[in-house]
Order: sequence, then C-alpha cells, then structure tokens
Amino acid sequence: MKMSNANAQDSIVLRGHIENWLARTRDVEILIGCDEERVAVKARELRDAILKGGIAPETLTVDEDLKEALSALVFLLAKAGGTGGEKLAQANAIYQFIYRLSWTADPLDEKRDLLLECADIGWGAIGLSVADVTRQRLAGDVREVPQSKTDPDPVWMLLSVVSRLKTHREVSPTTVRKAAEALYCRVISSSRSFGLFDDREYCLGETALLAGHTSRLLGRRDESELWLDRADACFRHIVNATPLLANVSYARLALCYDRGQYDRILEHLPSLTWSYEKLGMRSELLKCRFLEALTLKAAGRGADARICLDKLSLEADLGQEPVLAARVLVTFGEELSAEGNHRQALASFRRALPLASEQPISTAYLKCAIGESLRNQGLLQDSVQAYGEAIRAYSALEMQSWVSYIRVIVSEVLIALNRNREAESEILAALPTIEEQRMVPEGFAAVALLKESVRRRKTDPNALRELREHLKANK
Amino acid sequence: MSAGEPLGRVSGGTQAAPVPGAAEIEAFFHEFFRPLVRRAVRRHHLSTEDARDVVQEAFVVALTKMGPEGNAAAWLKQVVDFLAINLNRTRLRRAELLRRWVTSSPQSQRSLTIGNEDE
Repeated sequence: MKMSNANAQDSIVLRGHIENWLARTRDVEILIGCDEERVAVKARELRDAILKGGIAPETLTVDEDLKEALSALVFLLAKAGGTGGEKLAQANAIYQFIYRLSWTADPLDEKRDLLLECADIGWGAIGLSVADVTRQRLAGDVREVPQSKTDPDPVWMLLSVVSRLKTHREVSPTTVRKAAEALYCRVISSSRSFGLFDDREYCLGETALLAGHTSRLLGRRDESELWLDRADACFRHIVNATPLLANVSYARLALCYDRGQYDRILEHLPSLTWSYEKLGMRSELLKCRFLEALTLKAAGRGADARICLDKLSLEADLGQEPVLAARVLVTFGEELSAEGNHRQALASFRRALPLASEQPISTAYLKCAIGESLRNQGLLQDSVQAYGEAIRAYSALEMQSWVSYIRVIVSEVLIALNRNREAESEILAALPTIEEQRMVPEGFAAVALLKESVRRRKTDPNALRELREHLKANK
Repeated sequence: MSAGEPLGRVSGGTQAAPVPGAAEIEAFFHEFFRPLVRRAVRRHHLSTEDARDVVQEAFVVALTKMGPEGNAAAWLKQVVDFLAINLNRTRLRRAELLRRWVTSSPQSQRSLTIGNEDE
C-alpha cells in the first residue's frame, strides 16, 4: 500500500482505502486475531531477553506478532515500577532494540511512535519529557542524567562541548569547524550504546550542523552542503526532529544566500518562518526575518528590504539578541548610506558598535560597512583604512573568501586614488583564494583579464568591476 | 483465526467470502487498522474491542472531515486519540454520575433496597 509522506495525493489515496474498507466491513465482525494473554506473555519474555542483551534485533523479522508484542511491551514499560534510574535504563534498552529493527511498510510511523513513547516514559521516570529535553538541547542547557551504563566519555560531557561550540561558532569558526568534524568522526565510530535514546543521532546532527555552518562562514560551500546533508540524515532519526530539521533548513537557506539563489530563499522562507512560529522558536524566527531583509536587499528590492528591517527593528525580542540586533543596525546603516543619508547611517553604525564588540564576525561586518559608507561619501583614503581594518578582522577569523572580496573592493578604491601598485598587490593577494575556493565559475573571463592586466602592470578597471560585482552577488 | 487474517465472521457467524480487492483490504488491515488498534490499546488503555470500534469510527470521521492538506496519517492517528480520550472521559463521567446518583438519591436507595429485598 503506497503511502509516502504528507501531501494531498496521500490524503486522496487514504480516503479511497478507507471508503473501500468501510464498505467491505459493514455488517462484518472484524477479528483482530490476537490472544491478549499470549501477547502479554510474549511481551514479558521479549523484555527479559532485551534487558539481558540476549536478542539481536537485526536477526528478527518484524511481523504482526512481533509488532503486537512490542506494543504490549511499551504498554508494560509505562506501567512498570522501580526507581527512576531503573525505568530510564529499561526504557533506553527497549528504545535501542526497537531502533535497530528493520521495520518496513510503516505508513503510520508506528516504529517512530514506539520510540517516542519509550523516550517519553524514560525521561518521564526522572521528571523530564521529550519536550523538556528538546527545549534543553535547543537552549544548550546540558545536564548530567543517570546513565544506564558508564561510558568511557560521559555523553553529557560531549553534549556540553557541542553546546559550547555552538556559542563560539561565530567567534572562531575555524576552530569550531575542526572540533565539530573531529567530534562527529568520534561519535560515528562509537558503539550504539552511546548515551540515552537518540543522544547519538542528536550529537551527530548537531556536530554536522556546526561543521556545515562554520564551513559556510569560511567560504567552503560544497563542504557546507555535505555537512548539512549529514545533519539532515542524523536529525531524521531523533524522536522530536522538527525543530532541529528546521534549523538545518535555515542553514541551507543561508547557504543559498551566499550562492546568490535569492528566488529560492524567497520561495522557501515563508514555510520555515511559519514552522518557527508554530514551534515558538522566537530567536530563529527573527533570524529568518533578517535573512528575508538581506535577500530582498541583495535581490535589488531595497524598498521592501527597508520595510522588513524597519519591522524587525521594532521587534521587542530583538533586545534579547544583541548579535542579531547589531547585524540589523549595520544592514540598516548600509541601506541609509546607499541612499546618501550618511549622517543617519553613521548613527546606526554607532548604535551597532557596542552590540557587535563582543562578536568578531559582527565587528568585521561593521568595519566593512563603514568602509563602504566612506567610499559612498567619496572619502576614499578613510575608506581604504576602514577596509584594511575589515581585512584584518576577517583574516583573524580565517574567513578568506571575505578577505578576498574586500581586497578586490580595496583595489578599485586604490586605483581611483591612483595608487596602482598597491591595487595590484591587493589583486594578487586576492586571486589565489578566489580560484582555490571557486568563488567564480571556471573560465570566468574577468579573472583572466585581470591577471593579464596586472602582469602588464596596467590593471583593467572594467575586469576588476566585473569581478567585484560577481563576488558581491555571491559573497 | 491467525494474526494475518483481517476479516472474521459476518455478524451471523458465517465466514466472510473472499471479495475482490482482498489483497488491498488485507494490506490496509495490516498497515492501518491494526496499528491504530494497537495505538488505542497501548496509549489509551482500551480493550481490543473498544479500540477496534474507535478506529472504525475514526475512519467514518475521516470520510467526512479529512482534508487534502497536511499529513493524512498523522491526522488519522490524532482522530483515533481524540475518540479514545472521549470514550474514556464519557465512561468516567458516567461512572461518576452513577456513583453520585446511587449514593445521593433516596429513591434510588429505596429501589436498591427493594431490589435487595426482592433478592
């Protein structure tokens, strides 16, 4: 019976089956065909075998009898007594057993329901719920819980490291990327008994998401995509996947922004925004709105971007998000500067400064925006100085694609200042990264022209402008 | 009857004759009907018979109310949950009313006494 996922076609197919079923079962006594006593006995036997570790789930065929027994087993588990720790350990053992079963033809997601119930019973035994654990995970609030066995690396400690990496991902992306990749490799090579319930998949998903996020910041877009695929695959196996899958979707849209795929972002963003609204994830919701403003701005819809930024700046929750607030103010300032409203732009940058000071990426972004504003005002010498500051800030973060992009801008300004030799050296410093990180398509003519013109010590301003525009659209 | 056979007897006790599309019906029984019955038994502590009735009722509701949007399977599970909760709630309420009525009404106490006398 073909039922795949949530869509209108499935509803129509299911309706047809229900109609058929009701027509055939009218005036017919439906016998379930299972002896409740026998099922209960089998469930108890199964529980004992699982707890003794005397049964390999991979060797079992998931037939109706086993499904009945598993359902009865989860029912027994809910009613089981004992201490919180004992019940937690039992629930975890049953969870891991069900997880490893090969369960085909499951349009109602019965396996997932049983896993969710096991996790809820287990967490419930120590005064938590799956929802509580999800909230703690999203907030990076990691607590030690009684373990069913002593792990060589206590899982809560690994989860604490993951949580710490999350808070540092925009402070030192290179370090976080390396650490996240190393953690991912370590967890994936660990045994299945890692942690409780879905801790293993959660840890893998979070480290992959971190690696994806930081790879993007460092301009490694293909790697970022690969890590996001891994995060997606891991999060699909956790019991409350929706909020974390939404975070992967957000990271994908951010990657689309870097690639200049604005239509795609504007198509998918409303659905993601709605998900965050429904899930009550306020911080992520604000990030979505900011991404929308950035996309509109980059797509040349400045007026719409302004409306978005205006609305966003009035959000009460923005006060609790200093990093995002700084980004909003800097972007707002950039828009004002582009309109020639330099005084207000400067005021916006000033308001952003204290908020951005603790956050190196925001600080670098602010310096770059100030450079652009000064350039718009015709203050080219000052502009070169501000851009130089931005280059140093991005270099310290090892965000080489940004460094190269700003070097290209600086070289244009230097040519306008008649400082051609300095411009050439900026171009020569930028080109290797541009090629290495494939920031331009293969055979991009402007790069070849630029190389040749620099070699002849007569930089081609048109090729330079073309390259800068391409990088701006794809930065 | 083995666990694999979906349809039992017609109310009169005769074995149901094979019908066209029986394979589809059997698949529906295993992939939808039984998992939903198990769910109602496991999560709402219903007897198998009550769970079976609840699932049948959910199917009737689905025919009139299930829209084309959203996840159809999740919707169906939710209807089963609501109906099972309602059934349990109605039973509790009825039991409570009966208990109160029996203990507080003199008439009922008298009739009970009369009933006892009759015995």
